[in-house]
Amino acid sequence: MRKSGLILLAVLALIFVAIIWAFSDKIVERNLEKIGTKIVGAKVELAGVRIYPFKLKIRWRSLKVTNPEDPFENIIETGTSVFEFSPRPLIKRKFIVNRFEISGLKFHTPRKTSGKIIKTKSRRKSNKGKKGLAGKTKDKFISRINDEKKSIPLFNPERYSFVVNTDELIRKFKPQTGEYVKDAIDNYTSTFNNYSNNLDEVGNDINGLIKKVKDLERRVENTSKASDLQTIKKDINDIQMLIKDVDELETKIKALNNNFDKDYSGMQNQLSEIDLWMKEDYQRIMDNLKLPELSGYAVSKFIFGEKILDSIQKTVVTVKKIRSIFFKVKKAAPVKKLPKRMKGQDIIFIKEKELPGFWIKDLSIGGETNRGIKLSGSIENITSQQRLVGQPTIVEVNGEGQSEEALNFSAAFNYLKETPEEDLNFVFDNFAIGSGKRESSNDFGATPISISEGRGYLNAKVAFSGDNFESSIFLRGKGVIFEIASDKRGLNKAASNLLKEMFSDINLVEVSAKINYIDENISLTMNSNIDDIFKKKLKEIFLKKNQDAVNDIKRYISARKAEYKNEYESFLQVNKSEIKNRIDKDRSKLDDLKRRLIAEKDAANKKYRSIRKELEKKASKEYEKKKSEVEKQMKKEKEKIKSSIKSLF
Amino acid sequence: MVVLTILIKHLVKLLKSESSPAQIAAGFILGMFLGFLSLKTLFAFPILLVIILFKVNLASVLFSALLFRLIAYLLDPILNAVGYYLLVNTGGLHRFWVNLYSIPLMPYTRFNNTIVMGGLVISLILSIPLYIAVKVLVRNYRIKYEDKIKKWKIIKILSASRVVRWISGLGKIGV
Repeated sequence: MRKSGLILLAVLALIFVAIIWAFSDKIVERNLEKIGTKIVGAKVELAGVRIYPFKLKIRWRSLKVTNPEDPFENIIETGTSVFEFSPRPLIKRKFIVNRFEISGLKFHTPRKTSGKIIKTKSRRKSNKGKKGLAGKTKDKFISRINDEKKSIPLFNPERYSFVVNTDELIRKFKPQTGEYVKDAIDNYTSTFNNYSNNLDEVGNDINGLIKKVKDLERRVENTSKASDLQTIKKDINDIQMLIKDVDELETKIKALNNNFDKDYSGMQNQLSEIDLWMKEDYQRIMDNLKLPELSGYAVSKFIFGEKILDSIQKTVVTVKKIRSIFFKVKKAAPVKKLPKRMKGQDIIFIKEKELPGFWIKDLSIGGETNRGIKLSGSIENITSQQRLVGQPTIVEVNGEGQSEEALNFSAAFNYLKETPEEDLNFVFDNFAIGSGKRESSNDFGATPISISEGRGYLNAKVAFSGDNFESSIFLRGKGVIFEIASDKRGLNKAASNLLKEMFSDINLVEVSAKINYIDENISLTMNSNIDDIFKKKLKEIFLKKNQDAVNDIKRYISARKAEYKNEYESFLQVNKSEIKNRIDKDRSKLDDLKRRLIAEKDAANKKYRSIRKELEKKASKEYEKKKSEVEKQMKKEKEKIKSSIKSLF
Repeated sequence: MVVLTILIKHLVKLLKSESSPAQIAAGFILGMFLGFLSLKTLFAFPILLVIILFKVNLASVLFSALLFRLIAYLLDPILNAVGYYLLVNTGGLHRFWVNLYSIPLMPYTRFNNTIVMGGLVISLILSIPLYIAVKVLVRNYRIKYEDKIKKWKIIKILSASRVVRWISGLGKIGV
């Protein structure tokens, strides 16, 4: 052993103590920053670190933790904070903090310099471009919402014309009545044609009869000089036959007339059908003036869905990050990793009933949010091995604002079992929804709608169990005023005005949503009073805007109805007149014929009787003459016979 | 900086007389341990203590520490694999490790790190053979080759260099 070595050792020891004494604060500060940066993945800055070795206390003046997603923003910033740790566990490399106080806590404060850290290349597989569960969940939802959004007029008002082009509508839905009337006319035209044809036949028959009658008359005239009874009899028979023919034709015409009257009556009934047809046409047009079916759509989903999903996604990411730090799966053997060169992999050896490697028993928080809400609360049992502690990590934070806002956040992180469980509950009451101007926080994603004013109540619960989670959110906004951005998404003025009109009366909004992720199945349900209001309003606006169109359609229908009726009536009238005229003509012809025939018949009968009488007279005279002759002869013969007989005797 | 240089020079003077093969070999072995284990573990403390208190060749320590640090960098996967095997895959040793870890100050040795454990085990395995080998090498070098090499032109140029003279002032590694 060298004595000089001992002296050197002593000198070195003194130097070491001096360095520690002088620079321990800086050393601890550096180390804490290093550890914090490693955990967060972005710069962590401490200032004013002071160690009190005899009190076993560490204090710092400020702590700034950069937001990994925005290097010019601190995700949290603290004021003076102090913690006391237990000395004995330190020798076993266990860091046990009995009491930790954080004051002046702030969120999302701006940074002057970038807090981004340049990451060295890791031998581990890069997750760049790969999305975790939260990212995939959100992407799936957003994609679904965007698909459904395409069919909602609210978000595509330029695709849905809220002012109807009447001509277009009528042309598109051509009234059917015209066709029906045309069909009826065509139908009845053939009926009239049938009657006409029948009347033609009758006419021909009548003409034939007229000719026969003329012939008869001529013949009769010729036979008037003759006194041939047979001829006269024949003439009379012919006349009878002709009269019979006339009667038959009369019967035929009568039947035609009756049938025509019946058919005509049926045709006339069609006039009332025209009323019905026009009514149907009107209804059909009006039906197509209706709004598209909206019963299946929750408009609130499209207004609030993305924002709610954003919040859920951030919560999922945060919880998973917390879980990655604090939840260690109890495996039979630690998984072999590929660490950085010369870093190695730390294998944790846990003895039962031992203290955990890291444990903050009680952390009390004091601070303020960006909205000026004073926060106070505590977190108990922040530890690297909850099973050794035997208690879950409990968070309880309350807040009060100057404008009577009230906030409560409570959470339990339970990693005592095989499956990690987290329960988060957030209540925020009476908060200002808008600040009178459009803010990104009040934007609802890609919709052109935002809320500029209002007071809100929010209750959000998320319960995680392993990879699954169930969440429910309830939001109420009172006295809300909606803002429509006409420069958003190429919204034209008409559509923007339409949206403004729709949302102008809405001052109470209630939204409840449930987002669950169970066994890799996502479900999102959302209900809101806005849904019914939206449908009702849309219909009102639609009908109001289209009242003129409705009136136009009514006028059109009335005009067309009158037109069709006139057309039909005149068609019937014309054809009826024609048929009836012909029937009347034929009837009068037949009457005339009959009259003539009867006259001929009477004349012939008269002549027949007179000639017969003459002939009878003549015959009678002849008879008498003959009779007397015969009698005379007979007498003579009788006398002869008598004389003969007498002669005999 | 001036004070530091003077301090180191005095330190060197203090140590330069320890240049026997055994001392060089011992320094080499201790340097190997430092190279494989690094200064961030508690193992470094007793090793440094031995270096300061006992008569070992510092230049040899530095040389071998640098050399084995480089070797450790290159053999990192093997060290990691050896460490992992011993710490995780040997079920029989698990209880031992758990008890060892709960002893005060033991966690600061970081023996539960795969690289540290791998380096420690390999250092222990190589320590005796390397000690004997270095000792023989130095002895043979001094007997057979020292004079010849001193005559080389490159050695003469290097000897004239201030840097080399400063390094050799640290403990005369045979030059």
